Amino acid sequence: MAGLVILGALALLAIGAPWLSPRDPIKTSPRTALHAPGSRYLLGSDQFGRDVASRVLHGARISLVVGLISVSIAVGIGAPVGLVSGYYGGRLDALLMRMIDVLLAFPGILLALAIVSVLTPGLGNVMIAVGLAAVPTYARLVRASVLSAREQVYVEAARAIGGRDRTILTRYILPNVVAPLIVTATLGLGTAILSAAALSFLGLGSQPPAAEWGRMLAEGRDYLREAWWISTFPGLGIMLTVLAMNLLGDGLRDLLDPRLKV
Amino acid sequence: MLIYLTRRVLAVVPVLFGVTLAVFSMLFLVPGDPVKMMLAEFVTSPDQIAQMRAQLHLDEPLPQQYGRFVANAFRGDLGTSIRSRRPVATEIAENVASTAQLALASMAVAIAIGVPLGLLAALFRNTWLDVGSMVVALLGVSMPSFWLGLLLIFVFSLHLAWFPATGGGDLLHLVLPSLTLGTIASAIIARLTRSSMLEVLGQDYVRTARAKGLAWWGVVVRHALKNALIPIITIFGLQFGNLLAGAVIVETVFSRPGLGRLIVGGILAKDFPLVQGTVLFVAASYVMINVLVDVAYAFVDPRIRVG
Amino acid sequence: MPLARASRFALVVACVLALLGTTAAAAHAQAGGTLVIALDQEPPTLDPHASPSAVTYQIIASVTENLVYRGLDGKLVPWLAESWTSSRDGRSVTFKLRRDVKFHDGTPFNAEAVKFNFDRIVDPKFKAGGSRSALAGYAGSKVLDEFTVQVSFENPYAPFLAYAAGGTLSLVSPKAVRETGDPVHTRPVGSGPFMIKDYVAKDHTTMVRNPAYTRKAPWSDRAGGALLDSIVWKFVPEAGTRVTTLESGEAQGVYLVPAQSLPRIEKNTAMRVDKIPYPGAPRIWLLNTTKPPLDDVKVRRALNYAVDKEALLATVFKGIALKAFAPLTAAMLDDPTLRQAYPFDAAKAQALLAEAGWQPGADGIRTKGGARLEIVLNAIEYGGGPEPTAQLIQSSLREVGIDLKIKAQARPPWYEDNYRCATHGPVMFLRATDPDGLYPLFHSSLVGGNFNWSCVKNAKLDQMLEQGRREFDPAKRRAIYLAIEQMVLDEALTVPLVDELSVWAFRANVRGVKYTFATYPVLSDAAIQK
Repeated sequence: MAGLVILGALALLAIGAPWLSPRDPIKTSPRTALHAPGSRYLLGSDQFGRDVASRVLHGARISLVVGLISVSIAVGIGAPVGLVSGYYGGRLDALLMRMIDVLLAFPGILLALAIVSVLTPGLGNVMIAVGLAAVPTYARLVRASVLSAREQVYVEAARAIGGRDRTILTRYILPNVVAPLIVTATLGLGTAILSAAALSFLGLGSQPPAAEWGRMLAEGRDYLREAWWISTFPGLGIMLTVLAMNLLGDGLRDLLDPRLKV
Repeated sequence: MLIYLTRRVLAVVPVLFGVTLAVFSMLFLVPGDPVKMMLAEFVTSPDQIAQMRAQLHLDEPLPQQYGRFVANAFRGDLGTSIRSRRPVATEIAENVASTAQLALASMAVAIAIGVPLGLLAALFRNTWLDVGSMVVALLGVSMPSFWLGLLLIFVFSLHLAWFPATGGGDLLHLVLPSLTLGTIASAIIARLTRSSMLEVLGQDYVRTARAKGLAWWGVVVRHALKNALIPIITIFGLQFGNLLAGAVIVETVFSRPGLGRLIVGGILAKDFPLVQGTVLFVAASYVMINVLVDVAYAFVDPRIRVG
Repeated sequence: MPLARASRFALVVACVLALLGTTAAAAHAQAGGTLVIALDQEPPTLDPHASPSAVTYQIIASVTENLVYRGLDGKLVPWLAESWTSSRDGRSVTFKLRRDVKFHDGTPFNAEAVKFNFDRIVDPKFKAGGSRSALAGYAGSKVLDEFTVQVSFENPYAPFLAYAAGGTLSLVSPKAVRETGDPVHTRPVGSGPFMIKDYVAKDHTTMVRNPAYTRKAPWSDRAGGALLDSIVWKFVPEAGTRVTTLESGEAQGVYLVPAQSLPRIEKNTAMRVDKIPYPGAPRIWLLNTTKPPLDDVKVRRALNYAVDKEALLATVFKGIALKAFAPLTAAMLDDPTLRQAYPFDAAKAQALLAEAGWQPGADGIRTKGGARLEIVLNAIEYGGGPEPTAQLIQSSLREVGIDLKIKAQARPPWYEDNYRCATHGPVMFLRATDPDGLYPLFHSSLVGGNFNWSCVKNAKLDQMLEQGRREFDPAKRRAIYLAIEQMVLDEALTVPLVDELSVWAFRANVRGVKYTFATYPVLSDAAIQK
């Protein structure tokens, strides 16, 4: 559960950012721009003299929130679609799954990219785009879990004695869906944070002066030779966070869903 | 077998249909008048705007426009880029080779790193080699490609000056981008190889072969590896999609010409015909590649053919 | 126009001397070879009449030629026109043309060709770029004989000759325009010492020596064509990479060295840096005077006191710009009165905002009647991150209690917003070669067009701008434009930020690069010493 430890630490840092930060993350100080890491600026200062350490701390806040909201959107839409599709089957299932197939035809970040181009850039729209782009994952996962649960003897029995759909769904099927869903959503948090940072890196996400990791990397790119620290620390932040999510996801899988264990 | 193939290929049709519909509707979901956007930098009269609208057939009813869009796309006409005023198909044609090179080279890197890493982990299960390999793989999965790219530029271009930082063209320019993309993709391949290999090593025939006293390495190579590779083929299709999408970012990091940069540039410049055409092209290629992978899989694994 | 010559001289004298010094060397340098120059952006088009962008003219300055030439000294000298006379009423200019000029496709250059070019620009069916405003009030061209053409305007038009020397009014082969259609965007057919050979989108364009060029170019002291065989212009938007291509030898020249790399390049003895102040308008924030709270002159003045230009000069523009004071750069028109207008004074800004009714609020942002003091700056997103200038302005304004939102967007919607006066104005710059550049910025007829994005309609200002166009006497013109600038400052229609320098770096063995008044490089005397 190393993931939980890292994640807990990150969450604490994120929540405590306003008090832990040595400086205002968006206050510029042109005369002390591009200071190397040291006693004055722990992680150096950027091209406008902003404190990199404070910006990285505040970046953790943004990334965690963006990840949570994106995944909520994805699960909020994907899970009901999968549930309905898997339980009722038939034409509705066929139609929904065809739509999911269409979405899956846009590989990886391309779907989020297409959505954000329509919505116009901005952090809010990035969350929507990343969330929508992940809908197929959850819809398919939930549908598969429902299908396997539906075949279970006790569900057959409940149906046979005339149990109502809603009761069967919530009492018998949902519990089977929850475990894989939690595992996948945890791993999905990492993916969402990566995607959102990538969109911001491409200039389609957060707007200045927000201290967002992807954007900081993009801004630091032009200063790579003169000031490596501007882009190095936000990158490290992204990697640690995503790593924590992946560790936690793997751990949860072992714990909740032994069948998935490799 | 033939039935399977036919069914698989036919299943693509509704998907492609849906993809064209999704891409087509992009233009109409965008806020603002596309024609005004196209002409924004020029001093224009209402006449010119009307003329442009007619020229793009934007004055026709939507179903008719969609019909035209699909028919044109089928003939390879993806419209005209606003910024460059050149056919989108030409822009794609000029850039597709660069992205294909990057994807293939990255795939090679991914296999060269991923398969051995996965094998090591499986063969020396629960040793420090296994743990080490999987930690490396986990780091790879968690690494943002744009950051790894910058780190490689920092070390190999700015400090060691071994490879150029940016641009396209010769093989030297391909090294850092394909290392970036390939390293990240290798993590998934390593994890998959390990699990697939572990499964096969547990099978009866492998145990039998070993019991018969065949050499350990012979067993691994002749029996286990061959069978373990089958599921890895499926991941190629998926990974290819990831590589195409990853190219969007890596091409931007390395300022390398390609489809990804075409899309990002198009989005930033609000060049919608270009974005639409390129996204459609990438999605359609991805769908087709997956069909090919499935077909190849059917040939390799006889069990599929029946279904 | 000569009114800014003195100050311009003072600023570039060192540079010019250096260039003169290298001329002799260039003549003896080995001919041949290929010069690779990395540019910061790809041109939207290479058609001089269609382009709205300066990068086009940086590339084609030695490809297409003009009727008259204007070098860094500001003097107008003959080029494709041997001589010219202005009519007494100031409405027309008659050009006597050279007889020995052919376009690259063999089409002869004559009076018809000049008429064709100018008529093309004003043709309502043609999507003209910056060229259209250079021919403001164009009434037509009359072919007097094969090599004499009279260009007429509806009103006296003093800036015309200065504009006739600019890239927007350079001349292309009529035959090529009629016959080639769209490729004219990637292959303009001019008459200069270089010809465009190929164009690879997003990568480069190549131009090669024109073997038929035997004339003496107006910037050169020798007759004959280019010394180099070819020039490759590479498009490298990423600043860091651009500099690296110069250091690695991949390129021998770059335009726009970013501030953070400049010290390194300047220290390197294998490099040479040319810095030439741009004429025209500085990098400037045009304040939308119609949108509250900027309809209040006190708030606009407060912005002028609040923006810390030194911060810009200490970071983004370190070594590549000078402080701006007025809506024209000091290289265009300089006067002590302008320099005193708005010193950096946060306290004064605070006082003005308080006077305007904006009181300090809880989160550090001022409020009035419950509304927060929010201002939206329209900025261009180039893809390399948000505009740093905008971020520094944002930071300065926060200090006095103003919340600046940056609307970073692509060019097309950026223009749309400017036309509709939808934001509190853009940060922009205008490369003009005549103080008449103020006309498009502030004349009421150009609200909703290019470039009155302060959305100002002021009858007095209109009248002065029109007067400047009619006035041919240099001293009187200077007085008119100085008065206009003072009025713009008093009304605080803008926030002038920095006067940019055109920064070119070359490897030290590249000799003979010269610049036009607009700071575009002319390269027929350029050579690479082995």
